[in-house]
Amino acid sequence: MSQPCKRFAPRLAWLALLLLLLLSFMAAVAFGSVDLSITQVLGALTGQPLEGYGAAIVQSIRLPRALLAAVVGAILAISGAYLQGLFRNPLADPSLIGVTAGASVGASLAIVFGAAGLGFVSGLSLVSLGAFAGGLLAVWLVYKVSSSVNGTSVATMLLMGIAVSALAASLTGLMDYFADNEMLRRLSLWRMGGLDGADYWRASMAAAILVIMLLSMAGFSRGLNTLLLGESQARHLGIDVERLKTRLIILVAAGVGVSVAMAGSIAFVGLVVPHMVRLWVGPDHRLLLPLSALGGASLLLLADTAARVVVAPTELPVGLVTAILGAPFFISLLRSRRDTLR
Amino acid sequence: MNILYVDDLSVSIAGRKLLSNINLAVNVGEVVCIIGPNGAGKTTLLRTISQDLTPDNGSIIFNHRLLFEMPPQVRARHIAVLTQHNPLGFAFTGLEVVALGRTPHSTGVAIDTEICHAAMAALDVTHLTERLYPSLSGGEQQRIQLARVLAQIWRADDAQARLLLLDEPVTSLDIGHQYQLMQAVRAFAKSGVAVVMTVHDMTLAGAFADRLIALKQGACIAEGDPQQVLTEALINDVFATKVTVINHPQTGKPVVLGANTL
Repeated sequence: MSQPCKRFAPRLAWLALLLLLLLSFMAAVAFGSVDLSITQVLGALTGQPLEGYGAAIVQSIRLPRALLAAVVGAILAISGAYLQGLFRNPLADPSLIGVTAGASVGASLAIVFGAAGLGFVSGLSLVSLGAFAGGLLAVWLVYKVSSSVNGTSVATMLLMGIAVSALAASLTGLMDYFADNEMLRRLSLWRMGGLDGADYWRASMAAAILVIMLLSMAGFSRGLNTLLLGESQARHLGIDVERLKTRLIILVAAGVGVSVAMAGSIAFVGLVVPHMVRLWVGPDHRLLLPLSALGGASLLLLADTAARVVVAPTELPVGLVTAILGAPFFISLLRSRRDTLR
Repeated sequence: MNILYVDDLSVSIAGRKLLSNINLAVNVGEVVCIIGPNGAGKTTLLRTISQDLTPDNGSIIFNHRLLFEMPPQVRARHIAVLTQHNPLGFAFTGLEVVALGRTPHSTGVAIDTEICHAAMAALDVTHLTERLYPSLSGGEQQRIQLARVLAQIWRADDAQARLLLLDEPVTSLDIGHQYQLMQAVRAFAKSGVAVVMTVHDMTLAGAFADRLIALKQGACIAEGDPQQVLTEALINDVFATKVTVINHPQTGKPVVLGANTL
């Protein structure tokens, strides 16, 4: 086990991921039930008139959807990297430890009790706020139970994820039971909605959270790096650990909350992307966080394109595609780490 | 010049008294070793000085200031701590782990890298610069972690008053590296750093420490230079065993031999 490490040069990784993001964004706009050529796509994006419905397809359907997918993918990947740093454990993922489920319950509660009377935008904000509150409660609960001085136990963390998800499922069931027809209709509409409900409003609300996450990233990197050494080690290096943890938990809840509210539950992006990036450039958060954002945006764009193309003219939920990719990945991770699991 | 004063320190966790009325004063350039049996409170004392535990009463004064009043980041420029357990499962390279020691400073990459290489050279881990930390042996990991801690307070330019706290730094090291590490710590102390460490091996402690502190059940029962503390009577009392103490043929320092079971 004494191989020297082989890593990508950071500049190469930046370049490769930026290129990947650009290509997957173009692909997401170009492919679908109607395929467009590159010149058509570029024309529509720059606002030139096109023959047929090309411009309308790009501007009112595919562009907002691609934007939402990219933003949500980036948010989920950053949230995953934050959680893994917080738990000092590369197996943490918003969906595996129940944050996504908690956010869904919060969003459903907001739909059942509040969002009805409000307009579109304030309704969406309320749903996001509910999802944020639910996600916050879930991540705080899991963190409290599963972390100790010596790091976090993988087993406890995953079991807490199961417990929180089960609780969330039962709460959702209760809500369905007590909801009247009108509410049931709204709930199931929201649950069915994924990226196909994308519009510029949703994309920009998610983008607002992404901007906050991107701006906060630089300030967290050093603290997160030392946190990997251990909590008291980070404290001895002058990091205010409690403040760092509180802020991370709030940001993750906000990120997962808004992504659940805008695009439904999408699993495994937060697990797969930071893991791949770590393999390429190492665990230093100063690289890991921005590159994960790029990778997450690309992955969700590609997954969504695949979801729209394979069964065109209908489409698969994008969460299905990421789960098909992510679950085997998770299993192989578990298998390779089974000796070191505590 | 005394840089660290521990005054009448008592600590209890969950109602159990772990330390009672400890007094300690450490000079710049001095190496103080804390010895004592398992559960005597050695680690508790270090953790209290490093602000991981809050004392019931008593005070810790560092560089003429109450230690708990120093902001964490300022404290980190003066005081470096090596804890007993350092679990790290993420694939940092050796150099990256050592470089984390420079977190409290903003001295720039060039100076930081230079310091990291110097600290790694002092602990004979230069060959581990590019290796991944999780793939190293326990002893190699331990030496990388110590290099990180030394890098944290390497230069007097960053902070004049410097204190190094080491909890069992030589566990899992072979005998050659044990002596090399102690020598590196000794040389580091000479550059103007106060060192307080816990060591299990009394012979090693006697060979390198200026002063020993013997703890038993949370109380300090002996303090002095190695010749004064490492006596058969004292060790037999503290450790409830029967040892023989002889003088090292070359250095004349006390060597503690274990109980003769034959």
